[in-house]
Amino acid sequence: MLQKGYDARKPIVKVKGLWLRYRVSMQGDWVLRSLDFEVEDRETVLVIGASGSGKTSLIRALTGVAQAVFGAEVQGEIELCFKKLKELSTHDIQKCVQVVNQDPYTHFLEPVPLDDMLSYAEKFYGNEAEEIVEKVVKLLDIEDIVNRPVITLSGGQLKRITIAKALIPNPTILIFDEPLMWLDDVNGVEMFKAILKILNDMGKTIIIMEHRFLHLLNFVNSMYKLMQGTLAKVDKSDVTKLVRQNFRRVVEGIQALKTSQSNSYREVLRLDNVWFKYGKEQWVLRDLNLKVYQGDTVVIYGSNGAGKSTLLRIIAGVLKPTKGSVKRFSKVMYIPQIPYLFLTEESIKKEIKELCNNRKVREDCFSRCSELLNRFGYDDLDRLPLHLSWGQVTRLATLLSINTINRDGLILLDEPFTGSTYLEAIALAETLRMFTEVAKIIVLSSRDYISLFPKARVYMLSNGVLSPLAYRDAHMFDKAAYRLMPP
Amino acid sequence: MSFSRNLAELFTPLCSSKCFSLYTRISISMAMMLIPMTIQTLFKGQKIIATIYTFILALTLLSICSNLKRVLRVLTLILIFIVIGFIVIAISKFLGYPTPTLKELILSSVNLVTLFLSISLFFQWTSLRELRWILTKMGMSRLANLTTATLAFLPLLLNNYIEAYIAILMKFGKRKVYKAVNSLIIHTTMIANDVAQAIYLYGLPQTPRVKVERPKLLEVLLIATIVILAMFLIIVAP
Repeated sequence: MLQKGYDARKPIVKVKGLWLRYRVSMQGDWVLRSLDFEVEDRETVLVIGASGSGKTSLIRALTGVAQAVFGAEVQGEIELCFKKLKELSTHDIQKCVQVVNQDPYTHFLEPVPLDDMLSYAEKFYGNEAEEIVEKVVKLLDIEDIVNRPVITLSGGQLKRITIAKALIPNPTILIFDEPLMWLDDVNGVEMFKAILKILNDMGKTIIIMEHRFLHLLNFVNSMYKLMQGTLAKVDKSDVTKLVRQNFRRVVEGIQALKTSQSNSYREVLRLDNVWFKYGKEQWVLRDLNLKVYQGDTVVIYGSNGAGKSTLLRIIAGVLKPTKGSVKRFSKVMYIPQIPYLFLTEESIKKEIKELCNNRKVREDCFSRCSELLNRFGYDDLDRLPLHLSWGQVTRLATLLSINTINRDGLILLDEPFTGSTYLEAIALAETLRMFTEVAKIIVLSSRDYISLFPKARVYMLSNGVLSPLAYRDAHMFDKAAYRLMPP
Repeated sequence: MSFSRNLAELFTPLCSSKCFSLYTRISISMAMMLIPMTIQTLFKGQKIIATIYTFILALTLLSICSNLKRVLRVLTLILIFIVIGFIVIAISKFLGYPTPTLKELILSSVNLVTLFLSISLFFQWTSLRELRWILTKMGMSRLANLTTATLAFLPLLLNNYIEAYIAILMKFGKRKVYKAVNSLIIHTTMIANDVAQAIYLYGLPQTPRVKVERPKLLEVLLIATIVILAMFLIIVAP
């Protein structure tokens, strides 16, 4: 699956002594510290690292966005496509390198992706734009979704379209920032693997920053780890071994835990015959019935566009069901897929204080919450949440809500492991399980994380129908699916 | 959320390619905007039949393109303003100030609703590419670029705003729901950064190559019928 005929070639990306820091931290820390690395032509490189380690900043520096848009201070030398970055015009950069960002919603400057792609293609190909767009649309099999408005598409669907847009200028280098974020296992991850194979065959140079990297190990030539602003080359076999050991340890730990599914009969949520559709469109949800009791953990798994986020929004009261009823019998907290929407204060400390004061929970709320956040690496509580990475904000919102919700409350988590490394996800899941009296509904598009909740009731949402998914369901462990699981 | 999504979709081009030629779409929606404005300016409180005709026509055209139920639901927003207007007038009457008659009030309100529907018809029928093309042809390319950047993210922002409202309502309760403004500011800042990044990476879209077909005979007839009937009703009917 690696690049055909790959061997050592001239470096197409050359970084020497790269330092980067943002304006807000001019007095303080450098995000990147003296980075040196090279990527050969047609090489596929994977960069891993904890959330907040500077992966996105590295991409920003490579494309010049850090300086031009974020006003960051960047020192050192960057060469792309055998030319110094400073010598490249914006058009040259676009022809040389294309970036697929974490959040696909912000890639489009027009409400309908097809229009946006046509506009972009016209810049490079003039009258042949339509033909080129048609080609990439077919290549990525997105004919049925590319003509729909951006707001009606799920994050995963939009990600596929974003990759298609990036291919339009036929760039030499493609950079993917968490390409698997929000992507489901079959349509998403498998699709991305297929795309990688196509890109490899096309002879593209690929740089991937990804937390769920185990899916991609067979596709990469070399691997780097970004830690505390420095980049170190890692041996692929060592990584596999290390993760396998850690997983075994953690899975054994999880299975040894005596947390059980709630025996409480206190109902916190009831969905009766819930049907939902947007306007004249097809039914998104069909006749859903669900009862959640105090302390329950319910995992809802489904592919992109299956209606998982819609279901959570109905439970939260953001949307009203077209038919049927939703009854909430306790306080509910909702962490949206875009976690920044949950935060309101100018510092983490103020977030904790406001939440603790407002919810009138236990007296030691503040110290308990600070301690918990500390364990997850949030040691600077005066930090502006805006400056945290996506993964850090997702975990912060989850930890804040679980710590301050009433004991008999219900917490709704939309993809809580987005932007988390495997180990960060495991730690977060362990923490969630500690709050045994709080009911949780967790929406996931990746099977990777279901095993973190061994006692949970797992449902699959498919074709609008919610059906129980036995933990050893043949569907989950058939050969094709098993290959997707991490070692 | 439903309301916000419906509102967002009212200003999102949904079926521009399925409908008529660009000239027809522009002509009809412009005519639909001009008719209630003319009635309101020149014949205030008169022309009941022409007012009802344009209102029904606007609803019919929108129902062809969009979901009528959704359009009507979104009208609640404009109805709020109308109700506020009614209250202000009632208070004015109570205090002895001169006020318009009930007939004038009702006809003005219907005209306002028709104007709102016609504006939304224009946005649903004209894609951003076409809008940009029109503005560029009018020599306003800079405005076209700004419109692109703003309108492209408007539906997305509207969609996220209600989500933030619910998340904060559940986080703090009704008493502190105003704090949602903070998260919206944070979110908007991030979107602004992303837009700047997208513009840097992709550049502002070029002047689009829009296929402008000549309107078919039936389309010309439709435009003529709409305008002539409206003029007839304005001149002849009470």
